[in-house]
Amino acid sequence: MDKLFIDGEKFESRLIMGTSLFPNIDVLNKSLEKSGSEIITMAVRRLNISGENDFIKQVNKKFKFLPNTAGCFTKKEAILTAELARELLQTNWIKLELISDEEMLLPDPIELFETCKELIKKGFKVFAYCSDDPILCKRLEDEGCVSVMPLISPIGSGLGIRNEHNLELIRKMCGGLIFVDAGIGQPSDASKIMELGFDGVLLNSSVARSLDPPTMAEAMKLAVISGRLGFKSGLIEKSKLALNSTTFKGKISNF
Amino acid sequence: MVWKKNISFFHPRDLIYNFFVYSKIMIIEKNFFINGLNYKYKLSDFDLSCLVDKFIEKKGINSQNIAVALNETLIKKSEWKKTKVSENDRIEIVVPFAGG
Repeated sequence: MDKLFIDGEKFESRLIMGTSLFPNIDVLNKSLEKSGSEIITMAVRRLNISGENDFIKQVNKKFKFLPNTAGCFTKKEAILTAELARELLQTNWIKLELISDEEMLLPDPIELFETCKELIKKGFKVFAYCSDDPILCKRLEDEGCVSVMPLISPIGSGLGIRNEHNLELIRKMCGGLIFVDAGIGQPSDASKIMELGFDGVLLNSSVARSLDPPTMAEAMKLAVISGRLGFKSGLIEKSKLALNSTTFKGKISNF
Repeated sequence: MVWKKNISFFHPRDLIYNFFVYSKIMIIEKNFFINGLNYKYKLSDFDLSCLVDKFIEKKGINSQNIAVALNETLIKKSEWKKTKVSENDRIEIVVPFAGG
């Protein structure tokens, strides 16, 4: 498969994995291994004085970390979280999540756009989790985001692609890196996204909440590879009528 | 008279000396909001480094694996010792956490 370049770094895998909701750390590590991912995302939370705090020690260090601002509702909150993440993980990369409500977890596009500008000024490499609005994606890309990350349906819903036409428009309008971030339910969703020409997929719930996360992680890996190979080899044009694959010429007779 | 030689009389010099000695012993207790909860600490030096050490002591947490914000501003590790903390300051101490 063709290599992926993000911020000057080369990657083999086009699948970014989330690290939440796994039954335990062993299952998480096995799933990450099976997924073939090289980049994993993680959050920043208050130190728990009576619980586990060594998440980072338990996760395999070979991964590239993409910290996120999950759960942030305001620009101020997101910027401080991003700065804390940079200090913690020694990376300028930040997946900016700025949501508007707790029920739908949908991104707040206005607050997101303003925060993106501010973070880029502060030297962050922003991966912007946003709604599947082509204009917003284009504006974020023009602002200097490393990658735009539209959702295909709400986080953790597993509803899959809700607006394929918008995704086609996003791919057409944005020439840079685009990952789909949320809403993937099954491997065919990941494959379809890659067939549409997206650069990669970020997923978490569809693997972590499945009955067998390591196997589902492998299924997602193969789906991403399959979709990408399909896209790169040039999909045929759709036709409303049948186009015979076997010629009529040389047929024995018309009885 | 021999005993008179051992009597030490009050001298301003002693006052200054005693201030420096006892200020280290009579440590003041201050209140802080750490990760949203109230904590009272007696510290010899009210700098951020001391406060963080006090908070994480005996919890098996390495200070290399945490990041700290003071009153909603990130304070880099290299600045902890130079940063003074005051009564009722709001401190956030964070770690990497599973997330998607």
